[in-house]
Amino acid sequence: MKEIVRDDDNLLRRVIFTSPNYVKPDQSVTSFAFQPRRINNVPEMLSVDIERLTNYEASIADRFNYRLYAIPARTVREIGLDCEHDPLLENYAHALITGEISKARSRQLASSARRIHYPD
Amino acid sequence: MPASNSLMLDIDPDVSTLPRIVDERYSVTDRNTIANTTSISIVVFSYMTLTTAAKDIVSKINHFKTLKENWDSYGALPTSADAINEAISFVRMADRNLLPFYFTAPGPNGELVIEFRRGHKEAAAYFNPDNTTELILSENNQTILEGSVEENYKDLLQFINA
Repeated sequence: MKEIVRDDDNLLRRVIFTSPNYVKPDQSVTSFAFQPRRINNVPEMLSVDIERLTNYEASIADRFNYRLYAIPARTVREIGLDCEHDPLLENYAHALITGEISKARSRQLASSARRIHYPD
Repeated sequence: MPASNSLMLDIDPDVSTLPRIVDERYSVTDRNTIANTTSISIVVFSYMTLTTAAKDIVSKINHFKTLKENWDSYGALPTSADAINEAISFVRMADRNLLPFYFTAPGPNGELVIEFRRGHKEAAAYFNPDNTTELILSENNQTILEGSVEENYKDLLQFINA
């Protein structure tokens, strides 16, 4: 069953931080962390997890190569995008950020994301 | 008195292996100066002595050549060889113009970004696999300019180096 993504929900995005590294020296992330793949020149939607429906261990999946960044659903909507719950069999917390994610919007998402201090 | 090649260079560089010394797309220099042989020698000297920051960026960009498909687990493509070559040429040009390198990363679609930062001013130059470029200038997280690197290189210099 799909849930409503509330404005006060935090959305978790896994960010690679080994080689290559999407985490900058000041711990902010590059806009590529919030840029979807393009298939046949059509951008896919951006996979995230709804924080209240998961835990950090499950969401990070690979804590040796990834870190988690959180962005409020309200922020996603304020910059002209949207988010919807998209539960998967293996991941009920899965959600999608939808809309046209331009490079400028990716930068806005990245600059609004805050690091989750897990596992360190 | 203009410096001679022999004064400027203590080695004889193999010019055939150098990148384009003057990339007209990004150049803001007067063509008469470029046509002067002595000035070109100075450019070569500049290439031979990239700053530490620029060398570090070039090294990281070269590492992107090793990325395999799905390197980010979200299905990312390997970084385009064309994008890598264009970006490295750009680094040499940007280094000559004293731009403050901050970060580089490969993108999910075969592109890469080079970022500059000075105070609250940030610039991101994107090199795409289809040989297009994009430039975003921002200050305090507000976008100031979006366009191509080629058409806005002068704006980049003025924005970051002002």
